[in-house]
Amino acid sequence: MKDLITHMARAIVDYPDKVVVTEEIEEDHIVYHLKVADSDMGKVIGKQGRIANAMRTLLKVAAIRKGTRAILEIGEGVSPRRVPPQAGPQPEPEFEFEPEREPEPEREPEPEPGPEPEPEFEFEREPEPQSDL
Amino acid sequence: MKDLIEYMARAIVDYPDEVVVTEETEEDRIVYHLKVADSDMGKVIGKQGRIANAMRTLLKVAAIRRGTWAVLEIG
Repeated sequence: MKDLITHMARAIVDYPDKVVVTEEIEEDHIVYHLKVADSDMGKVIGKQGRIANAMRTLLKVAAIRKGTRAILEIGEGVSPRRVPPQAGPQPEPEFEFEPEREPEPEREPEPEPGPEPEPEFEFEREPEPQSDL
Repeated sequence: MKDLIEYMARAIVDYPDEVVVTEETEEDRIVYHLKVADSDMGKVIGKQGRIANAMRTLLKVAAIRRGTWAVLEIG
């Protein structure tokens, strides 16, 4: 199945030599980590994860055929899809992490509605540059 | 790209030896025909065509990378 992922990824990236797939066998499933060149990350994930999901779909079927389950993770992060197979007691966190809250920026009081001050000088607005999109 | 289709199909069927991919180059696109054992047809198509579409998605990207268009026909 490692081959399958490698093959699929190599077919779609710009730097096939940088495709690295590692596998981690856990109790009831296998986790595959796919690493590609940074500039290829978008390619293997795709718009709204479409490519990643296509690879996962095929991987899932291949895994079922082999009587196991497989998870595909892309890049360094842990994907939310990963099932946390936590058996046994969890290690105590070393310290409590409390998210620091940004102090709310003080709001300036709304200026009293009054007569508009005369603009000191007039300027012409430049037309907004047209975006290509 | 033929490789890619063969690889994907062989990974999911019961009879990998019966996977045959033929290609047909048309003007601006390539049409791939994927043939598998009859009993494997369901596997390569999948529920609501999910597997077929996953293969098509990957094939499309691979084709774009090569500056062409690819169509996958099954059966």
